[in-house]
Order: sequence, then C-alpha cells, then structure tokens
Amino acid sequence: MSESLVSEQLAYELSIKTLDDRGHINLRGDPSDASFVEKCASILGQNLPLMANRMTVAEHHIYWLGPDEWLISCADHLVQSLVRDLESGLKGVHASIVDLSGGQVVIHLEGHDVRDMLAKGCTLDFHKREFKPLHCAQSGIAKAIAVIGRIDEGDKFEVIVRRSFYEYLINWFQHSQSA
Amino acid sequence: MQVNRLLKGGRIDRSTKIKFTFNRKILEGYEGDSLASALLANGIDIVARSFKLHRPRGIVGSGAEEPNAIMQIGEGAYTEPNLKATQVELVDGLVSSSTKGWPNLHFDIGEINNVLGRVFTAGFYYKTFMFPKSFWGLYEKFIRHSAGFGTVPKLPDPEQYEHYNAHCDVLVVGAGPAGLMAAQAAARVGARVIIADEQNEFGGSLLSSDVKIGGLPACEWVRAVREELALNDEVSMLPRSTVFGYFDCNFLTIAERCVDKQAKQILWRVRAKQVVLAQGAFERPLVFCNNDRPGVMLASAISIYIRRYGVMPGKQAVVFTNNDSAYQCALDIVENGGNVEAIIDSRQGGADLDLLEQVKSAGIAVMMGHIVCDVKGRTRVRSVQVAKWSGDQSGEVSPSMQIDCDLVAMSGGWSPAVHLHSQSGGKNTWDEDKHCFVPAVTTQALRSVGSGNGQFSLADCLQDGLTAGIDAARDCGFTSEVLETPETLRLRYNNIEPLWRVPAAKHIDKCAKQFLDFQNDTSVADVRQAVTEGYQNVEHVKRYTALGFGTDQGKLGNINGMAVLAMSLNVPIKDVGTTTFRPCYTPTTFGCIAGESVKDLYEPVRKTAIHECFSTVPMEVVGQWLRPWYFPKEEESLDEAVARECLATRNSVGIMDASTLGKIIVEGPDAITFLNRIYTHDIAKMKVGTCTYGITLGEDGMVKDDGVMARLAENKFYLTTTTGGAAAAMSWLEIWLQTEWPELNVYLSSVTDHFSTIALVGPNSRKVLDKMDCDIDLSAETFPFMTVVDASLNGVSVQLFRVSFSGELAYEINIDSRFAKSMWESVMAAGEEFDITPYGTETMHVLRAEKGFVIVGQDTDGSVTPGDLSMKWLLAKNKDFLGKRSLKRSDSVRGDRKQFVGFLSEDNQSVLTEGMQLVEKKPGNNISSENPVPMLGHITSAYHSACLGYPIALGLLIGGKKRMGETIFACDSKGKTIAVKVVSSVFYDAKGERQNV
Repeated sequence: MSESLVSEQLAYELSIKTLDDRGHINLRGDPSDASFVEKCASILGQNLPLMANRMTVAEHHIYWLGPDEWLISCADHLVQSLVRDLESGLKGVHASIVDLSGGQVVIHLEGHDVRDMLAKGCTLDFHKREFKPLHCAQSGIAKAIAVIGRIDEGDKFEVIVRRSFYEYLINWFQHSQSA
Repeated sequence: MQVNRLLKGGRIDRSTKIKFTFNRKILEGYEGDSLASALLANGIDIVARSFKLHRPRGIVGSGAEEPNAIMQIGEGAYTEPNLKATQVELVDGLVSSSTKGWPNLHFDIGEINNVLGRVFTAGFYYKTFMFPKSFWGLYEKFIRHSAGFGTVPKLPDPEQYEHYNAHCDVLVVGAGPAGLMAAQAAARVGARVIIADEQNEFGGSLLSSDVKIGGLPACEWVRAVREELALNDEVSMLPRSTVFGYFDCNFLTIAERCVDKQAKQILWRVRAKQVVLAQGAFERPLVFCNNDRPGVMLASAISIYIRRYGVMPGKQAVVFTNNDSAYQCALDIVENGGNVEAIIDSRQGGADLDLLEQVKSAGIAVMMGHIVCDVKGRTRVRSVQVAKWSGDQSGEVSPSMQIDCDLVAMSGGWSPAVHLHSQSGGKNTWDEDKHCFVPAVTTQALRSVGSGNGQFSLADCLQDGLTAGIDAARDCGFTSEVLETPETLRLRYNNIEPLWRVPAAKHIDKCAKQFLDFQNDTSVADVRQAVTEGYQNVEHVKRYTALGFGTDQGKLGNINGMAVLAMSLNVPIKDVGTTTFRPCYTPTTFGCIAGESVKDLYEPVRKTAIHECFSTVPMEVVGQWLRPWYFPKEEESLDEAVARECLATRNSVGIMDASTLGKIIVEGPDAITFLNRIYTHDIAKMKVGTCTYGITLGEDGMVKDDGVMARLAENKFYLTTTTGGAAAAMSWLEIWLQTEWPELNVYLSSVTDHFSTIALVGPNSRKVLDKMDCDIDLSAETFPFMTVVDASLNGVSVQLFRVSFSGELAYEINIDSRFAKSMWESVMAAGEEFDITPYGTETMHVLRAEKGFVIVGQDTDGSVTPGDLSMKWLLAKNKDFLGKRSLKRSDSVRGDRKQFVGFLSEDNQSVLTEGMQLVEKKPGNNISSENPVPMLGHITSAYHSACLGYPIALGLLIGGKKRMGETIFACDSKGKTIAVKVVSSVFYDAKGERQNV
C-alpha cells in the first residue's frame, strides 16, 4: 500500500495519512430485495452492511450511507471489474452502480488522540463505547462533508472526503493538530 | 503595599509574588489572587465610576455578580474590555484599567450628573433625546461617548480559539459541595461525567469555609473528591469554564479560559443525556440610602476575601443583615483580627440562638430590630446611620445613632442562580418561606441542586447533590454502588425576614439614592417613577429603567428590583415574576464563538483537479470553488486578456476548466417519469446518446436552475447544474424523490467531484482532438452537435460531449479527476499549433453573452419565468412539471412583466455597468423622493465584445420584446446616464450555424 505521509505527531499523538490507491463505487439498491443483497455479497465477497451507520471491513470497506445507498471503498485496480460484475450481475434488478473513484480521497487517522481531533470538528460522539469498531457515519467535519468509519478495534479511523474538499480538510486537521 | 493583606491564611501562594498594574500604577499580589482580591489587598477603594451618575464605586462582590469592578485587561491587540475583576485571575504582568471615569477615577467630570440626579431618572434617554428629531446626530455622538464600558481592540485578535464537541451521560454545572457530590456519585457508577466550574479552582463556597465534611476540613474533602474524579477516565473536569448557554435537547455551551494550552479559550459544545445544575446562589444587597458607597460589600464576599484570599477589606465593620448567614461574616472578621462594631439585624423575630451565642462570645454586639438607614462618606464609607425599626417597610425612621466604620457587610438573603434552569425552558416559583425564586417545572432532562435549588444548609446541599448524581446516572442506565452523604454541620441558614427596601429618614421619594442595580444606577425612585408613569410589566420596567441591563445582567439587583416593583404595584412578588433569562450567562467573546473558523479556515476553498496548472492565474471564487478568472500574458490587463482570449477562441480554439459544474447521475426504470416532472421539456423524446438544454422551475414557476442533460442509456441520465447550485439541485431532487414521490424507482448519485470537465471550444477544436489519439470518428455526421459518446482519448476513457456554451464548435471532455491534469496538459500540447488559448470565467461570460445565453442567478433572480426569458419553447405541453401551474397565475401572465432582451450603447463605445437602472427619459434635475423616475428594469450582464468590436449588454426590461429598436436610458447610482437601444439578446451568429458544423 503506498501511503503519502502528511504529518506525524505534532501536539497530538496522532498520525494523518492520505491514501492514493483507493477506488470508490456508489451503490444504490433495495436491501429488502433478497436477490439484490445476495448478488452483491457474492460479487463483492462480503456482505453489505444493512444496519444503519455500520460498515463491513474485509477486502473492501463498505459503508452504509443510507437505507438504499452504500459506498464501496476498494483497491483502485479492482474498480473496473467490480463495476462490470455488479452491472452484469444486477441486470434486471433496480440498482445503480456509479464509479466515484475520481471524486474521493481517503485519509487515515490513527493514534491516541484521534477522537479529540475528530471531536473538534464533528458533532458525533466518538467515545469508544459509542462509536464502536465498524461503526461509520456520514457527517460534517468542520465545514466539509465526510464519511467517517472506525476500521479496527483500536484507534484507527478512515475519513473519506470529496476530492475538492481534501485540501481544506487537511489544512483543518493540521491546524487542529498544532493547536 | 498590600496594606489589607492578612499575615496568614487564604489559598494564595505567598512565596510567588505577582506584579500587575491598575490604571498604570504598579502593584503586587500573590499567585492565587483574583484581580479583585489583589486590588483590595492593596487598599484600592475606588475601581470604577458608575454608568450614568459617575459615582465612585468599589468592589461589592466576589464573582459573576460583581456590578462595579469592570476592567479593561491587556493592551494593544490583546486588550479585552468588560472583564469583571472578580473573575480575572492575577497573572504576572497583568495590565488593568478601569473603564469609566474621565479624566480619572478620583476626579470625574461626569459626577456632575450625580448632582443633577433628579434629572437623570427613569426614561431619561427616551424623554430627552427625542426632540427635536433633527438633533439626533448630535445626541448620538454625546451618548456614544458616555456609553459603554472600555474600548474594543483596534487590531485583529492574535489569539487562537478552538471548539470541541463533547458528549456525556451527566453534565454537572458548578463544582461546589452539591456539584462535587453529584459528580462523584455519577462517576462512581461508571457514567461519563463532565463537571465544569467557572472558577480557577473547584470547591465553590467550601474554598472559604472551615466546616468539616465527613471528618475532613472542607478544602481537604474537596481535594479528595477532585483527586478521585481525576483518576476516572470517564470524567472530564473543566475549571475556569463557564456554562453560558442551555439550549434545546440538553445542548449546552461552555467557555473555557485556558491557561496551559495554545488556545486562549475553548468553546465546548456539550450534548448531555442528563444535566445537574449546581450553580449556587447569589447573596442579595440591602437597599438603603447610599448603599453604593465604596466599602459597602456583600457579607459573603467579605468572608471570601478574608478566608480564601487572606485579605481584610476594612478595619472597622458594621454587619447589616436580615438573615442568619451574615453572622458568619462577622465571625470571620473578628477571628482574623478585624473589628465588628455591631451586627445590625433588621429582624423582629431574632436570630439562631447558637449563632447569637457564638457572636456574643466573640464580643460582637447585636442590635436586633435595627436597620442601617444611610451611609456617610463619598469615596469610602465613614459611618452608618442606625435606626430602630418596627417592621414597616413603607414608613420613615428616625436615626438613633451613628456608628463610625469603613466597611459595611450587607446581606439581604440569597437568590438561587436559576439562570440555566430558566434558559432551558424551566419555570421558577416564588418560595414564600425562603423568599426567593426556586426552580420548579423543568422541560428537559435536568436536576437543580444545592443552594441553586434553595437548599441553604451544607448538609442539604450534599444530600441534594448525591441524590441528583445517583438519579441522573440511573437514568443513563448506571446503577449499583450506593454512596452515603458525608456527615456535616446542619445549619439553619434560611431564617430570613424579607426587607426589600430599607426605610430612610426621609420619605421614600425624597431620600438619598437607594440603589437596586449598581451598574446601571437604577434606584428605588426609578422603579417607582416607572410605575407612576404607567409601567407594570417587569419586562417593560426593565427596559424603561435599565434594571438588570448591564454586563452583570442584574445578578445582584434583579430580585430586589422585582420586589420593589411588586411593592409599588401593591401585588405579591410571584405576580411580578422574573425577566427572561437568556444566554450568555456571563459575557462571552466573539473569538470563542468563532473558534478556528477564521482566516483560511473560515470557508472551505474547493479546488479542481486541474488547479495546479493555474498557479500564476488570477482566480475568482464561485460558490466555494476557486476558478481561473482570466489568463493574462505579461503585463496584460483584464480587458486586454479577455479580448485576446475571446478572439482566439472564436477564431481558432480555446480551452477552459469547466469541472465545477454540478453533475448528477439519474438511474432507474422511472427516471423518465421523474425527470419529466422536474424538467420542463419532454424527456421521453430524447434519444439515447443525445443531449438537451433543460431548465427547472420552482413551485412558483420561476426559473430555478439550468444545464445540459444527456441520456446515457435507456434508463440512465446525466444532468449538469450550475456551479453554485450543485448541492441545492441535488437536495431538490432528493427531497422530491424521498418525500413526494417515493414510489418512483430512481437513484441519484453525485459525480461532481469524480468527473473533471475540460471544455474545448472554437472552430479548430475538432482538429485538436484529431491530433490526439481518439478512438472515435469525430466527423459531424457520426458525432453531431448535442450528442455524447464514450471514447478513449490518449488511452484514457472519457465521455465526450458535443455541447457548446459559446456558440462555437465545441467539446466537453468528462474525465476521471485523477487523470484530469495530465489530460489538460495533453490537450494543450495537441493544440499548440492552433495557438490554443486557455480562458477563464470572464471570457466564458463574454462568449455566452454574445450568444444571449442566460446565467441563472446573474440574469435571473428568482422572479423570472421561462416566458420572460423567451424560453416558452422549452415548456412541453403534453405533460405536467413542477411550476407549470404557477405559469398561469395572473402575475405570471400579466403584460408588463420584465423581459430578457439585449442592449447596445448608442455611442457604440460605453460599456454599461451591471445593475444599471433602465429609465424612459434622460432624468432631469427635478428628481426627488417625491418625484421619482419610474424604473423599467435593469442591466444584468454587460461586457465589451472584442469579436463584435462594440459593447453589449443583457437585461430585464418591462415589455422589452415589444420595444426592439427603441432608445431608452441606463443610469448608474452616481448619475451617469447612457442612451441604449433595445435589441435582440442574441448578438452573434443569430442563426446558430457556428456550433452546428
């Protein structure tokens, strides 16, 4: 995994890394349609999270964005084949598969103070008891909209932001980190 | 010299001396001092002049209730006005000055107002400065000079501020005995607790007390609880943190004053499942003549200065009270070497027998059934007049003796701090026993405890806190451990006989000033006058007399004021009620509220994927996006660059970054039905692979947004929206889908950021693409105007659109943003031999204006129908769509609507100004507000057209389409008038041949 290091350990015990090898697919469909759910699971190799604000983490990171919307974050070289397989596999099913790879940036935040940092800009409760592993949410960080997921048992969070907001958000993270 | 500093005692660190200045005088205090305690230690009697009458004033209280000691702190950009000395921690090098008093505190010219006091009564400003009306400008200058406290900094604030969002099970407000007990109880069972206190140290009243709790001296008990809480990971302790706002859904805001962080202040935005309010209570002053003289202080404040700060604020004291609590002050004074001449107790029924015994053995005389009816001394108390009193509040008394003293300790009872409870939406009720408002009905998940709940004995406060802590935690799902209330002294401190206004030697309307609100100089006479003039409602009286209007928000004087109002109206106090309590509890700085959202972080700046190619280009902010404005070569001006870019594009080829357009994919079996309802044109007619220009209307029939849309597949469409309207357009579509038409099987996805868009424009654009490695036939026959194809360009998949916002042969290349920058560079390279010219938003505007293409939001303003824009051809007759019915409203079809047309300057060279008003005749000299010139419309877009060689303009004109060829006038706000001819809005290539080749 190639990672471009943005900053590490300033005032905060925290590292911020931007990943440049991720691709993204916006998937929409009806979770009450069993065939949709099954086909997605078999094509993606992992289940769609059906509970609100949960994600599944296996080969891909699949985020629940809404009752009929998911964001699949995967290795970028897999995007084309996944889009093709989903399109053909879901033929005849009411679904929408849209490649968003050009529009998303993935930031990994990790470290003891990650929750403090997120709490500065986001109104959600990131306490370990509340925002558990594999919880996720679409929310605002400062004045940008982002998808936030807790991707392990520890202090690692994934933030997915629209490409055009990336610079603003990184500036904001860095400012917050030094304050 | 710290003349008033006691030799020992207090929670100050005598080994750490701190130098500070007050009104340029260098003084010394100790670590642990507040500015107020240090000023008192140094024998500073006068700290301010009063607001209206400019009377000399001293420190009265010890906390948020202080009305007088309002300070300007710090210098230059760091200066802060309006801080209360009682709430400012003393730090080395602190610079402070009083905010009133000119030329200085001891000689203030404004004190003349005091002599004229009878003139400056309630409603003075309303009555005096109204007439004559034309003098207001003069009055305003005078009022502004006299008004306000302190000066605002002239420089930008260099400090950092931060915001935190916090969540907890139980938020405890106040870390006095009740608050600490509640926090300990809730934390013991595992609840997430935040406990905030406005002082630098937890403990509240216990910090100036020597009672024992659970066998420990009070301060030791505080330390033990604090240490227990500190070890608990689920507890956040916030000293120096004022909870200043209580909003809906248990959302509270806290302003923390930081000492060891980079930020000066932090705004905590707390969402609490349960709230425990342990704010404490304020001691009330007594309302006697000249009760504002320096040296008259709250009894509890004197105890605090003695016990917590080791400062004795006077040498000879008189204690004046109507309840038991002030007896402790007398004992504190004597125990620490001061003299108490007498306790003047207004009560007829006597005091607590234990207390009487204690003061007697301390050698203090008690004069029961007596009052202090007047104070002598102007800059410091010299003596008090004492009279025997029978309990009649309205009559007059005869002073029977004069007692020399330099300190008066007064206590008129206690008022629970019901501020946050009230802000939360709770109601208060008047307690006839305790003679104070206590929290009653609550509307949110909160509990009021301790003296803030009318519990005036320590044991009751601890019990109240404990119960609330346990209950609050239980309501969050935490139970198990049971904590017991620690043993402590059970005192009866609510033994009060009300005395709202102290009788004087003269009639109530003729006696010396009896102040209710010290900060605003509001006296008993002012309230009585307001009543005489017909005011009854407490909110009206407040505004007429300024009672409770100061930065202390009447924490000291309000209850007395309401009681005096009740007396004047002859109604019970409960019928008068309180004024409304609103945030902020104490003044909060704008810096704290703004947080880090300043300068670069004030607003997100969105950049396109091609942005790096524009490092030297002037940029324009559009929505939140940064877009190239124009591309100057060498010393070119904006006009020169735009003229060159326009000509190059029309004559050869131009290129523009159009990535900021909003882009939405619409997919599903009901996509056509859905879009047919949203757009005005017939979607079903669109063939797969074709593009159409479409508009959307609001329900009011006015044009809302526009853009090109494409049908990518049978049930899949691609929409573009305006740059600024992208997010709103997406929400608009989702709202209709989710709330009104959930039965439609349609999904939306925003691809605004995924795709970058490169517009390639001009007669040579096809040749540029030809030079690139393109896998499709670009000829007009196979790839005609208004179609879209998937293509491979230099080996990268793109969507290629043949659309045009300039009227030229043009393409838009939609490409995955990750490859957009290199694609831009490839197209630039391929276009080199055609002198490909990058252009920005300005040239784009000129090119589209030459063609009469509207920009929604510039040429329209939410009051323009498709008909006004000559776009009726876009309205399908065979279907319904949003806004269609509104187009039949009488207003939508009236004949004199403003219509979108073009304008040419008659002189062929004047470029009009956007916003110019259109009028029939050249205005003469007889224009006035009584005789205005009818306005027929205005100019919405105006440019010099390099391609045409003359200026062009677009605008909205009443009945414009019927006025072609007529001459009217365009005027700007400075009176410049230009004759213009009304023409068609299409100036260039009227037949549209150039784009369709």
